[in-house]
Amino acid sequence: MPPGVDAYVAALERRDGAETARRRIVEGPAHALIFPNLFLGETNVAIVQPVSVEECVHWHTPIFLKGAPQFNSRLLRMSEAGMGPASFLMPDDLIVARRNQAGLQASLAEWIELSRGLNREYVDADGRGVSHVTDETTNRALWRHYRQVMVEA
Amino acid sequence: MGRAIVSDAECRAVAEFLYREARLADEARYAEWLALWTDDAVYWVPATTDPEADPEKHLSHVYDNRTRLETRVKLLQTGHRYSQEPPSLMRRLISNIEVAKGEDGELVAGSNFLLAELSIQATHETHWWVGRATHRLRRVDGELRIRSKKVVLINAAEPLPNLAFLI
Repeated sequence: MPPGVDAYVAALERRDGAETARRRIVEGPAHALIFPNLFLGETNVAIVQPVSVEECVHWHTPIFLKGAPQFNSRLLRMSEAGMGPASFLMPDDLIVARRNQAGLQASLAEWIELSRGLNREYVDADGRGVSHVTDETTNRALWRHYRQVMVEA
Repeated sequence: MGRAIVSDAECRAVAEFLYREARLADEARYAEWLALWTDDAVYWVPATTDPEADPEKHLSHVYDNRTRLETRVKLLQTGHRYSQEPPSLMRRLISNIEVAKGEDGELVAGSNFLLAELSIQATHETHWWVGRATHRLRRVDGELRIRSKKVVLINAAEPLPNLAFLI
């Protein structure tokens, strides 16, 4: 565990109680996409800005914890490792996305397959679609919702 | 301090060093490029053109210490760095070199660069990268080595395509 985290967690527990502190720190998904274009990725906030059918801009920034500047440097370095054009993750994702985009321009394929994990997807007691982390549950949900709001409009 | 106390021979050595570093980066000769850096190296590409930028307060495109620089190079060497597989075809021109003496006998070299990158991993687009680099160089066992390199792109704060190669 990075230095200072123990003390920070202890301070949160003193202020809010162990249960609330635990919820604040660990509850919720590591990644969340808020329709249509807000992305919460671990310690980063990102937005997707549409430019054209062929292009969008991905803006991102790390979060800083209020009253805990001791983590700022580490949060910056984590963000630079994962996000951005020179990071260790995003450029590889972007090249794959660029190839996918080229595939989307193909004139012959009429349908895009988004069925991965359909066989094991279920709806939990809170009404959420649940499947394996590698399945296309989120992709299906996004486009289902997109269709709904476009039809309503 | 200033240009006057840097000898012609030193200026020439610095220019030749910058050209060599540029060629190694252009040709994706990662191990040879990494060998040019000191153990306490800092490789910094700010995400702003603001000269007051502080990497401890502001997000950067790159802010590598020696360990992270080695990680960057190792990743490129795995063959699974898809954004540089195959490596971009590149040539950069280095110009407007100004050399001054820095602290502790370091040589501080400012230079402009113009880099053409053919990004062949997906769509074969040519990207132009333009900016100014500041190298702080030190002699280690008689050889010039990079203590730090700061690269300020003219479009540092704009949306950028992949910058997974060595700039």
